[in-house]
Amino acid sequence: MRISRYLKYVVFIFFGFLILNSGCRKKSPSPSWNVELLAPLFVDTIGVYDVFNDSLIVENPDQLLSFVFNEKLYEINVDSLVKLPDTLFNFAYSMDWLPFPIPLAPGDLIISDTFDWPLDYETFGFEGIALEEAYVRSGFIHFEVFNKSDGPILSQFRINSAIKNVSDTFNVSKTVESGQIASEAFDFSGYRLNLRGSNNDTVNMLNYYIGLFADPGIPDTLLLTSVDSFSVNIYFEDLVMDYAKGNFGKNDFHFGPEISHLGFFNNLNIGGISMKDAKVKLQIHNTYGVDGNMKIDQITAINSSTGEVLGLEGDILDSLLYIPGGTQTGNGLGNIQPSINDFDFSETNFNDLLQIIPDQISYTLDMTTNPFEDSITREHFFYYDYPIEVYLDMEVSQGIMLQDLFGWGRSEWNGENIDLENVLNGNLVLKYTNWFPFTFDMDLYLEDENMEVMDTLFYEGVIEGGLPNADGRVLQPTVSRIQVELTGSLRKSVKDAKFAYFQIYINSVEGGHVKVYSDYVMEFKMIGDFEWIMEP
Amino acid sequence: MNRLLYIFIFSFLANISFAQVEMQSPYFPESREDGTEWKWKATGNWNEAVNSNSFTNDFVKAIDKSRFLDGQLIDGQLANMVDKTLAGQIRSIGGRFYMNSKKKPGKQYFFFGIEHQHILDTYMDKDLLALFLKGNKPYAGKTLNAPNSEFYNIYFNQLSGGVGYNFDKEDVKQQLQWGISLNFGQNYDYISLKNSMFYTDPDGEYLDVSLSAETKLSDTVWAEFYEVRGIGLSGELLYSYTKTNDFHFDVSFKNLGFVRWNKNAFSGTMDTSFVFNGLENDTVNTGGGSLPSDFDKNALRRLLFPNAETGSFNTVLPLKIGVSAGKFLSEGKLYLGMKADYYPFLKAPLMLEVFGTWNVNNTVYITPVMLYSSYGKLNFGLSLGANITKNLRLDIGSSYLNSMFSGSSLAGQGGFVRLGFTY
Repeated sequence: MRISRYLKYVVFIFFGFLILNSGCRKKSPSPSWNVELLAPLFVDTIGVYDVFNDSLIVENPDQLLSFVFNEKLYEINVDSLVKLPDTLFNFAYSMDWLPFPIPLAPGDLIISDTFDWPLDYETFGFEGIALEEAYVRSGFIHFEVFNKSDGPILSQFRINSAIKNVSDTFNVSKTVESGQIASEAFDFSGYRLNLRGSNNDTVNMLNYYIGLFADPGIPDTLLLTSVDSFSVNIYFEDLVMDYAKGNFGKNDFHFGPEISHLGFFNNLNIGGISMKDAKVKLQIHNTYGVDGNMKIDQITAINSSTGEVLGLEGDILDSLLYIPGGTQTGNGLGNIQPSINDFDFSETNFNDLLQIIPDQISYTLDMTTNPFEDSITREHFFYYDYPIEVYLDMEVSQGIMLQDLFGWGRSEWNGENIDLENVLNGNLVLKYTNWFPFTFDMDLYLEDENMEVMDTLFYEGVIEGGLPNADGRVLQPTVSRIQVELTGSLRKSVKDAKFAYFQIYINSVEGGHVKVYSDYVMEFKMIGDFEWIMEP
Repeated sequence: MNRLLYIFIFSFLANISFAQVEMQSPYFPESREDGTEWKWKATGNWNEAVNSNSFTNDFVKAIDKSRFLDGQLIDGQLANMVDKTLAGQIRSIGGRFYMNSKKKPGKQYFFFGIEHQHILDTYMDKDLLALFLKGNKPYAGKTLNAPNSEFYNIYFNQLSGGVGYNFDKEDVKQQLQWGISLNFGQNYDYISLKNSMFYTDPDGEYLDVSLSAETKLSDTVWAEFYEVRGIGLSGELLYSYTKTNDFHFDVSFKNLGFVRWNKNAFSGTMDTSFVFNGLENDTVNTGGGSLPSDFDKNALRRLLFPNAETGSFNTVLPLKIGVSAGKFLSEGKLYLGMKADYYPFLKAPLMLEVFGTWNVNNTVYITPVMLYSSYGKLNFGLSLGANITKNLRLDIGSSYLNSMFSGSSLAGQGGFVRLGFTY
């Protein structure tokens, strides 16, 4: 925080001033005497942007500041959408049609087949899904071959519509010994799938090739007879897509109850906050290229430290929240223009949820994709890395109440060159002219190299806040003075300390809701009032 | 006797006198020995004068002895201040060695010597002194004015060499001596303050300051006696005319030259009016960051004089013009004279003495002295000279006997010791 920097300056400049009084003259044997000095040493002005993060406030034309909180509550990744069904398909080849045994030379073809085979979404409970294109993020293809012949065979499996690195087709082969089953899982990640079939006129369709050959490694021939047979099993396992495009159909998804951690209040270190007439919105960023209806079943704020739990109440629960789909922009993948949808929660008790300073949000919701059952479009899309995001968007201009907003800071301290030998006695007077309608309670310490407190510059120094009038405007600042006696101990600590550490608590004046204007400032001034041994 | 001893000790320890290093007594122009009767002479001189038109002896003594100035002393001093305080100190310590010419004995001689000089000359406004001595708090709510103040302080050492000529014609003896000196600057401080004003808010919340200041410092670190912070050249010239047992006149110029201070010298000017609210770290308008991270003395000096320069500069030496004249009476048993030393570059430039020397059998010389100076006051003193042996001559004296033993008197302290040996 900026406060830490100025506090460092405060003390350095003060003692620098003392040095100045003896520093402008050269050192030679000289007389000495006591003088009484009274002078401003340091002044700083702190504006609203020093107290509040820029991203938290918006200035209105009348200089009234609105506090804007925009915090991601949770993300929704529709796992079911981004998975391919664990499809299994089986091919059995019998040689019973052979009229007589056939000798095959090494590498001779036994049988081959090129065919289209659809992804089976319906079996897994999804309706109307019609994908044209997909990218595989992760997953495996299991390839299992049973060889019931008198010699080893070479089996080959290829997915003609799965391409990687522009031109590399998914193509695997396996040698299967006579009477054995060979099985192996092959990594399928990174492949781009054309799901429009061999004629490029359908959906959910992959084109495959299976070939069985006499093992090229056999020394002589493989005699194929009518009692021989072969069986091939292929299935997808845990296939997750990076991207898919097509028509996602009308499908229902349920989420939760899930818990999302909320870091917002942890960063603020606040004991309590309350907003008056807050405009609360739930903002949903739909990065999926499919529209949907969302229904919030429950949202619960949880303060895991205090154990407080408070549920959301209001008509918006159980209401259907329609969310248009996002759009892809440009040619590149991942160029998404999400649809941003605001839903007014002002009539709910969301403000109350925030007052318990939650660190967790629990939620349960339902979502229906493509609720209007558009079966024509093939422009639905999603990206695994761009889940739907749900934000809390809140704007407060009519008053905010802060309770023990806590801040602290530590800065390095180098006082070795500060010469306080000539300070006989005296005080530092810290004067605060405060327009902010906030009270600041501050402690300032000096610490040694182990960050152990050596001395206290001041403790529980109270800076009173400006008092608003009936319109909520502070027209007269409040002046507070804190006096710090320059004791012998403090003078030593100033020289020996390695760190300066402060703590500050900010509270709204009179514990109420206060408006904040952009021209509010707090002027800080340090005045030295001390007796000094002059040794020119 | 105790007082005489005190004068001697004081002069010796405090290095006080007034006359330049010279071959003769300052108050009795002796007849020089015949040129064939001496081969060489050696002289040692300790001279010092401390004066002020406002400071008391107690106050000056406390400063000179680097004592603690207690509140009573300061308050008493401030109660009797004049509007413009002059204060100064002139000190010289040195020795010279004279050699009679072998080719022209009695007509020509040579000399070389070494000398340390310290000259302090200040001119200060009353309010500025009050501020300096008491601090600003007692004057909070009042405007303090400093229309014209200067502080000049120089220490330097000289190595001198030269030649002198005697022109004797019957009973008229003329002497011309010139020399050149190599100057080794030790310390130099010059600060001037013009048309300046200082106001402290009663609560100390701001200072209203108008400052027109100039400073030149030989270095920001004090140099000891043996250290050299600058080098320069200077010349000196002496002419005297003496008619035996009738009258004497001499005129001299000394320190006609300069010192060039080395590259660490510091000079700066400031002409500004401002209200000082404290060093600013204006986070609203500037985002801060304008404060120096190092608060050592140099950084703070830079803060006061932001356009200061570090580098060599020249300063002229405090030129001294001396004139002395007198009349011998009673066949040389009595000598009535005056002696004036004029420092054209100082704020207190003139020291004028009127004296009468009684020569007791060419062995003892007793000289009452009356001194008037630019400090606007009269002082009285006494000088004693003695030919202790045929070869050894001692002169001691002070022109401040009326004041130097009274602590409450305006500062007037000083004297000299001169020891000469002739072979």
